[in-house]
Parts: sequence; C-alpha cells; structure tokens
Amino acid sequence: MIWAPEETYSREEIQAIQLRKLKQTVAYIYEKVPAYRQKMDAVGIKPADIQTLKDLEKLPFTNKSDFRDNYPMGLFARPRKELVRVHASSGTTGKPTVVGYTRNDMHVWTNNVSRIACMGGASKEDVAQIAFGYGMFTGALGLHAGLENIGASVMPTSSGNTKKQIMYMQDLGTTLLVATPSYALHLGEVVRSMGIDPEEDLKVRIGLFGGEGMTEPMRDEMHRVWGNSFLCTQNYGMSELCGPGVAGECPELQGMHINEDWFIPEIINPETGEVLPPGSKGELVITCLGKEALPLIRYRTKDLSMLMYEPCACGRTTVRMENLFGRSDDMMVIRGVNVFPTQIEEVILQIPELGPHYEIKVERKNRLDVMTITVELIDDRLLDSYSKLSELEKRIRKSLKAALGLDATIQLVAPMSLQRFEGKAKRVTDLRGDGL
Amino acid sequence: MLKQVAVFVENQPGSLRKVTTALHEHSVSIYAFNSYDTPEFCILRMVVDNPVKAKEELTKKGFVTRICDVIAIRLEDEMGVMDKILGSLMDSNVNINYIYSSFGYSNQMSAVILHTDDAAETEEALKKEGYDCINSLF
Repeated sequence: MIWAPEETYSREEIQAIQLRKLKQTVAYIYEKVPAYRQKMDAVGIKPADIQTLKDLEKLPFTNKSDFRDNYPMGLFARPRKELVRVHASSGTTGKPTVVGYTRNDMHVWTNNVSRIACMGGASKEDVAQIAFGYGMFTGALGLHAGLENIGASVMPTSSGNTKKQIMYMQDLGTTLLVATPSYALHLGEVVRSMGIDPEEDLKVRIGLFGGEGMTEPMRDEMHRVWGNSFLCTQNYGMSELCGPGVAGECPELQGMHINEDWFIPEIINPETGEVLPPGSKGELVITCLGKEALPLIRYRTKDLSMLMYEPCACGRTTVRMENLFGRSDDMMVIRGVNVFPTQIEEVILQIPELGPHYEIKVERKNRLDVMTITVELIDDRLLDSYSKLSELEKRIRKSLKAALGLDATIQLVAPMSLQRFEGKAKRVTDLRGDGL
Repeated sequence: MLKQVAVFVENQPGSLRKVTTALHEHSVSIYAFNSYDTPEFCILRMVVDNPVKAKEELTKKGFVTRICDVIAIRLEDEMGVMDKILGSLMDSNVNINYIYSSFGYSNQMSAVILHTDDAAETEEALKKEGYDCINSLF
C-alpha cells in the first residue's frame, strides 16, 4: 500500500513542491537561526538568491560540528515552549546531538514514518514489536508513532531481554519486527536455539530494520534465520533530519525511496564538496523542507550512497538512494588502503562455515598496521582435523585479500562468544591512537 | 569402531572445564581424552559413554561439536605391544592422523585409540593381522 499521493507524483510536480518549500525554508532559517544566517552572510547569499532547485548548491553545508558548537539548542528556530518533543542522538563521545519537534513537526514525522512502514509491507493488520531501545533515541518512538498511525497494534518491548521478546512474539502473535539488523539476527539465533522454527511456530513475516546498515549477505542471513518468506527491508534516517522516516525500501529492494517532498537529497564529493551527477557515488547531503523546530539546510550525513531517479516497479516515483555503501567516517585507512567494515562483512557472510557476527581490531605493531578479524566458527565438520581449521583460516584470508587487497589475522572463536548488540553494533576497535 | 566426540575449545583458563561440567551435569562419562598445545584454540577429543547425548548437551551450551569414527584396540601389558601394532599398520600402509590412549579402570585394560582417513579400511587391515578392534571402552 502507498500511504501518500506525493509518493507517486511526476518529477515536475515533485520539483515544484521542492522549490516552493525550499524558498520558504531558506527565508525561514535566515530569519530564525543566527548560526545559519551568519554562514549565508559569510558567502554573500540571501534568501532571494534561491530561484531554482539548482541554486541549492550555493548554500553552505551544515555539519555535525554545528550541533556541537551550538549545543544544546542553538540551531533551533522556535522557542522551547513551542516544542512538544525533544530527542537526542546516541553520541558515543562528548555531548549528544539534541533535536526537537513542534506539534506540526510531529505530524509530518509520523506520516513520513507511516509511508516507510507501508513501503516495507506493514498494514493495520500487523502486530508490531518494537525492539529498538526507547529513551532519547528517535528510532523507537518514530517507528512507534508511524506504525500506530497506520493502525497496527504496537508493542513497545524496547531492546534487550531476548527471552521475553520471544515470549511476547509467541504469545501475542507478533507479525512485524522493528530492530537493528544485528539484533534481529541475534533474536533469530536465540529463537532457533530454543528449538522454535520461525516459519512454523511464529507469525513474524515483516522486518523493518534501521539504526545501522544491512548488507545483502546480511539480508540472506536474515532469510536463513527467519525463513525465506520473511520480507525484510531497511529504512534510513538520522535524528538530525527527524529520525526514521527519511527513506525506506519497498519490496522491490532496489534502494530506499526518499520522501522527496520533505527532503532534498544531493550527492557530493566528500573531499571537495562538489555536487555530483545522478548515478555517482558520494556523500549524501540532505536538506529538510518545512521543518519548524529545527530547519536544516544541506546537512552532511557522512553516509555514502548514490541516487537513482528512475521510477520504481512498486509504483512510487520518488528518488531512491542506494543502500548505504558505508559511512565516510567508518572508513579505516589500513596500510594506506581504504577499508569499510561493510566490505569485510560481505566476505565473512559468504563463508558458510562462519556465523554472521564479527569483530575487527586494528593495531600498530612495529610501525605496521595489523588487522585482526575475529569470527565465530559454526560448522562442526571442521573439527575433523586441525588442517581443516587452518585451511578455513587461509580461505578467509585469501577472500579478504581479494576484496580489500590487505592481509588480516583471523581468530576463530566458539559460536555465541562474540558480543551481541541490542542497538547499533560496534564491531571495530582501532587501537592505533591517531586513528590513521 | 568407536565414536569420538570432538569439541572446539578456546585457549583460555577454564574452557576445558566448561566442557566437563556440561558432561557431568548430564551424567556423561569420559573414558579417554586429549588436547594439544595449539596457539588460539584446540580440538578437545574424547571417547564418552553417550556421544549423542554429549553432542546434544554441548551444542545447547554453544559448543561446536563433532562425532566421528575412531579405532580402539585393547593394550595387553606386554613389552613391545605398541611397536607390534604400529608395525602392522605400517605393513598395511595405513597413515595415522593422531593417536592417544584411554585409561584403564576397574580391571579393564587400557586401549589405544587411533584416527585414520578410513576407519573401516583400517579395521579390516588390523583384523587380518589378528587384532581385535573393540566397539566400546566400558
């Protein structure tokens, strides 16, 4: 089901809406947010200079550091008494990023999430179990409101307490699971280890995944655990932009449809800031349209993606962003080679003797970068001899070398011995200090 | 022929203990075992009285566990007995992958346990040489 008519507008109609809202948004932010007005003044741009969508390129970027510099609410365009909700991002270091919503923002956000939920196959018939951590994180309450809005029965189980999650799943007949992909896999593993066959014994048929990216091999793994008929899609958002509700996959699984009447995407070269033509890979930059509490122009997401403007077989005409290739700040430089954790994940998930979980450690020994990848052994046939185990180790190293051009040390551990994550998985430990 | 249980164990203090605790909790008796000094992990190999149950319980506890065939021959307490067995295997051109022994208990003799690429073929060869391969250690 398609939730909003705007999802099927012609390109001309979408662009007309975008231009109208962009002009309003630029005038609004210039008037209300001194920090952004200063940026515009510094490059000599006035709201009246924005006459076409192409003029967007003239506007300065907003960075994560702008949130830090204006902590906690310096980028807000409305006084606190007009806010009905405040969230904060899961900042791992330093202060979190604080975001806020007016009543109207909440309405827009909720409907944008409803669109994404419908894209992923949800309907009012669903029993939705939300296994995202509640609290200041936008993910849980965002999906919560969006699913409730379409009429699904929402169960706010929050993350953790896996056994209880499974009990609710069984007893209340969960049909739709909201979680990070890594937690969904963990849940599935525990379900199987309890002797429950998800396809036979449970009703879970839809997964709406977010909070972290999901690679294609991980999706295959999800089908192995939850069954082949499991419709598993991912969606995209970040608290600065509103939370979930920016983009989501439809059952065609050809990228994530962006809610273009509320967000204008651009792809830029992360080094130069130059806007790249459609079909190029680069950093995703998003301009939020019509946000009242926290308008944002050209926000640098640090996520690497690509835009596809061809209409989709699902009937939607909105632009699709390719599933994340990685985050520009997740990239590690190891012995001068650019490495994304997703590349390593793809290799590991294609080796059937290994489980889907892994950890990457990078350290420096004798001035050389050394990468150690710890993986879980799951195939008992390897126990026939030590040579089979060392043959496996060689095979992993060879595949990694082919994919990355780098050698790695492989450490095999027992199944279920690596840490499982209820929120975003933290798989990389860089002990090199300088981070380079 | 005899069933051997192999378990993947990490090289850390207490990791073998986790295996023996799991077996003890379910009253599985161990009759022979071995593990070697490998750097990061080892394969703990055992002969137990109930290999199917051992695998089931260890798998539940998260251990990767494998059952395979090995050969066992009772060891008479005589000078040169090992030399004779190994000589017979050499004559039959059988390559031994690994070898260990069970412990004698309550009047039972110890046994030598060996793993080759083809247990059935090895057993056949040993039979021809007059050895009695046993199917149980208890």
